[in-house]
Amino acid sequence: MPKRIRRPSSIVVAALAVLIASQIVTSAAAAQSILDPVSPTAASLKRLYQIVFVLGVTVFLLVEGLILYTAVRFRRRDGDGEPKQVHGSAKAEVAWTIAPAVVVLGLAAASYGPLLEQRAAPADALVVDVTGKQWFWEFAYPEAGVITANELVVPVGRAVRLRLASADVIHSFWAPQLGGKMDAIPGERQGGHGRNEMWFRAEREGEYWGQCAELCGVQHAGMRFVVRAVPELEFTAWLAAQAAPAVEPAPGSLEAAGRDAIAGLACVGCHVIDGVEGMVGRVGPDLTHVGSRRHLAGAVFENTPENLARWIDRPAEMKPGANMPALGLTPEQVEAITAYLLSLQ
Amino acid sequence: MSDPMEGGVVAARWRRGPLGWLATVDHKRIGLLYIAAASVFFVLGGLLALLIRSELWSPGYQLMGPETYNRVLTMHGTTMIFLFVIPFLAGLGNYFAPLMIGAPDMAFPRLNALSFWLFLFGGVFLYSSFLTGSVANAGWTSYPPLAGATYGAGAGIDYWLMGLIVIGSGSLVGAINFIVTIWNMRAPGMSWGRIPVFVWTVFVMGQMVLFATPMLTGGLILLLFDRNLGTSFFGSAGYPVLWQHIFWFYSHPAVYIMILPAFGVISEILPVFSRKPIFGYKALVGATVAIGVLGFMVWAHHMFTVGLNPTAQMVFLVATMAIGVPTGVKFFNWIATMWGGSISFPAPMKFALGFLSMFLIGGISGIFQASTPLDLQLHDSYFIVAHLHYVLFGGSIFGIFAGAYYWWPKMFGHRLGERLAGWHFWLMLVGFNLTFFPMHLLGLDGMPRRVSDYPAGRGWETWNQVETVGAYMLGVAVLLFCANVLLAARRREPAGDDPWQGNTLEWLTSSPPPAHNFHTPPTVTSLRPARDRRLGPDHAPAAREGGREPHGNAAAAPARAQAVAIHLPEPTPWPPALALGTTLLAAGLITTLVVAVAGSLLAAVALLMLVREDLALEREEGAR
Amino acid sequence: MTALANAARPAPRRPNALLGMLVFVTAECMFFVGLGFAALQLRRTVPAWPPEGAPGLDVPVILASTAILLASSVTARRAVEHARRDERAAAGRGMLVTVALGGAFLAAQARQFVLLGGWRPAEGLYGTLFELLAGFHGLHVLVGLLAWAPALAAARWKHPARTVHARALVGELYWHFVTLVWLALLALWFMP
Repeated sequence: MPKRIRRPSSIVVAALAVLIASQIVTSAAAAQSILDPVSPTAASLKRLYQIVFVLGVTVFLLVEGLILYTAVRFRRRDGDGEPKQVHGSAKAEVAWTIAPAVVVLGLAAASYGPLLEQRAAPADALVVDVTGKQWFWEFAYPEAGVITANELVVPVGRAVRLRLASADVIHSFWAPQLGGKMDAIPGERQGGHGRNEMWFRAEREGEYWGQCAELCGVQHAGMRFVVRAVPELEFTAWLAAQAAPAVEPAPGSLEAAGRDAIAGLACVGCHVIDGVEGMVGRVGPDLTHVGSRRHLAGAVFENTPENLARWIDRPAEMKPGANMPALGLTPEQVEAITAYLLSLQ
Repeated sequence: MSDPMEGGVVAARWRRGPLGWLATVDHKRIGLLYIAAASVFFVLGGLLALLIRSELWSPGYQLMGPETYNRVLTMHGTTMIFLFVIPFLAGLGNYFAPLMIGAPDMAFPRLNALSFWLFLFGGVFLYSSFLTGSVANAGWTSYPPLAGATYGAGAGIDYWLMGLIVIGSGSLVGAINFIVTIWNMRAPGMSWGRIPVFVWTVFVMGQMVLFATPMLTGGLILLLFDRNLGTSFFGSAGYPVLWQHIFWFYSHPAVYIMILPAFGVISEILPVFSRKPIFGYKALVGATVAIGVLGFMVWAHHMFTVGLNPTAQMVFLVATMAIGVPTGVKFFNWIATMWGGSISFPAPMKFALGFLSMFLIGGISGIFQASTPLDLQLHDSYFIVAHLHYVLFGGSIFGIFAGAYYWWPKMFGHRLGERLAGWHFWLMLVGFNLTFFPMHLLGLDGMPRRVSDYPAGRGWETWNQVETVGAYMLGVAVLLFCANVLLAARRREPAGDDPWQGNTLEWLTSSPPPAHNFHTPPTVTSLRPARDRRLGPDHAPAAREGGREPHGNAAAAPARAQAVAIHLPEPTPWPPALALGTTLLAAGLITTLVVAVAGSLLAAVALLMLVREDLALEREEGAR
Repeated sequence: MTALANAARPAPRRPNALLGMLVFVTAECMFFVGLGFAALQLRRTVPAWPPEGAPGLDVPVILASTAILLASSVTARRAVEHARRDERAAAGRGMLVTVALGGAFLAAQARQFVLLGGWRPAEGLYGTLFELLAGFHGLHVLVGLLAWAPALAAARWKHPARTVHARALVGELYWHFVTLVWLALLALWFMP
């Protein structure tokens, strides 16, 4: 008898050990983990998670333990007759109805505070308009008149309020370390309760990854972004630089040739460079300061000369299904345009 | 007494061979048809899953590009839900609900056939989109505007929408049959308080299908209008989130539709193999009904991130948490059934225990998600994928295998092999956990769902590879089951009427049962009539019900029973014809009008013939 | 649908067919609940209801068609009562009158469609939604007309009175459902 009972309990202990270990391993390694919060909004969700986790593991151990124990203890033995035919117990029913009800009501109560917190942005928060577009994220700082993409640069220690929208289909904005996700829904009606908003406050410097979390088409997997939290002064400088018009290339330079090429190509239908005439498109990202970005194409690859050149030349190779068409550029055009875009710091 | 199945208005060819299966209205044959067709779709859906897991082995596009991946994931989910789990459980219900209440067939046998053929033809139509080059790719949830006219261009989603309308109609028709049958055709003594728990779960499931499916149909129609007739209900000028409300109003009850019959199967198996009665019958039934009702009040927990007002979110939060309570009640009653019993572990019991353990995990992960703010992190991540597979695979599919092993001898007259079943079970249990447990961790790590690719450097590769290995193990486990089926069919070891010493009425007739199920309708005096018969003082082996001849020979019935002329409906090819006509009409509406016209004509003719059969039947009955 | 007779068992408490129709009608109600819910939500996407410049519904036509449908429910009830009392000719006449009234209702609806200018989704939500809701309701009325056929046939071809009555009841149940749905749609449409 003792040997039989010992085996299931050792299984249980082993399972528990694996579970705990995996939690530790997980939160240590991950670059996008909900268990590595950087914002107080994410931190309160992690606390909630931990509460439910402890409860969940406890319930699992109790109930699974009971199942395994029962299976072993009441195993049929040779010569067993029919066991006592018990039909039920009203007391038991009451007990195991009330106890779980109390637990879940407690969890519901514990959820109320964090629920309200997610939407209650501080009044002095920096406002950023986030627009999801197939397949990249556009960030606009309305007070400064800045529009950028792929990277959300924010000051450390200051609240940031995001107002979400979409230009096409439903997307979902999710940076796990900064808080829960919120859907970016096209149109006015949105979720029925006004425009979707969320807020966070990055408490430490660093880069925090996020990505779209609602299937939005062929490159849903390639719709990522990075949140860069920098010191306040650096942020102010960055914002000012972004607000300036595009860098003028030196006349006759390779960069100038690139700018002239762009102005005459289909690029003008999808992109804007503040300072280049005739560029009217908002389908693609604003390119006024594209050279200053570290990531391109929905943050799918880094902004290096090789990547940028290849992206301009053969977009489908780097991001199959992306809306940017191959324009059949000559190698000279590619070189010039790449140089020009990189110069747009 | 002449055999009522001989002669009559129906030609002999509709009674035998493949045409016999086409024209059958026997609930047992229809049940087998459901099970067979659903199993084929299970394999197809499983292959799609292996494609997904193979692609996700490592970053980068290896097997397929992102467009194909989105199609594969859409069809995987759609197949498993609408073409496997729901129809398979409907098949088990079809076969066994009438038997377990002592009825000779379902209330509407021809409607029963119609519901199967609508499911099959609808599924075939859905899959025919693979031949057109445009396949649904917006997920099984198909949210507009992605699934709308602008961003979801191409016929694929239209096939998906129309296919689901046909499949859903089949499901609805089946539900009507279940409800009326269980309500109206119980054997003498089979009061509501004595019908087996499985039958209760089928009944409540039927009610849920009844209330939920028409909502989905409405939504599907509205989206078809948007895509094809120029409306903009779900466009950005309209109300895109409205789709989600309508869709989830159906699809949340759908998950309970998928689990309740599995709960029922477990509730039949545990008492038999613990040799005790089910503990807390009333509580189990009450919990089933509670789940059925509460299941309609929680749909927006799939929408916690769309921006509902906080009051609504709290209401749905509380309702969602509340549904854990009746589920917990069931768990405790099941454990109490085993407690103090004398438990053996043949295949059905292994899968029942596997079900309990895996569904427990799935239920607990559901509690995480029920908390609205926490769900803001978990929603649309791999944590959800983990949860849904723990409840649908660990729950419904383990339950399906449990039911298959349990009822195989009754359906086919021989048992499935125990040794191979053991291998199947353990391989499946391990493979399942390897595939789906790490998904919890990936979700916590920030990996969203429905991604055709993921970046290197997040630390996601290892778990993805573990999951892929697990998925292939699952594939092997399923192959083992198939091998078991084939080998057992060859061995044909007779199982007898009651190999497990069961409790319920189906064990009181032969394996497989005769066409009319019971020679004499059984009289029921308790919840465990088969056990009563086994133990009763005047019970002699010769007095059991039924003989082996498919058409029933009244002379073989026990001497004390009255020889009865049981009139059964004749086989008829018109239900499949009606189903085909309906499917063609649906298909034609989104392809070519000629097909729609042809389908309507076929359907009209089939309807007329069915009415004619009705009149002929009445004339015959009037003549008796 | 086939009724199963089994001499040794007590007959089902109610005919399967009537129960089946009750269950079916419940499902169809849910279909209209879904469309109605959608309509209510979509109403809120426009600032006023009816929206500015939307084609008006012809209220007299609506009132007339409603009256016709209500009358047809009355004649349906009367016809079934005749059937119960084995007054075959009166039952048959009553059912035919019901069918005729149903046809008149559909004609009035068709008129309304014409007045709205046919199917013009681009011109706005109001006309489109009405045509959607009334269109599906009309389809159900059409099916309802056909649902009287079994009872009419049974009356005509001298089937037993019990059969005529049973089938007429089934048709009547469906018919009242159709009327009730129309009233609900009107309420949804005209409520502030």
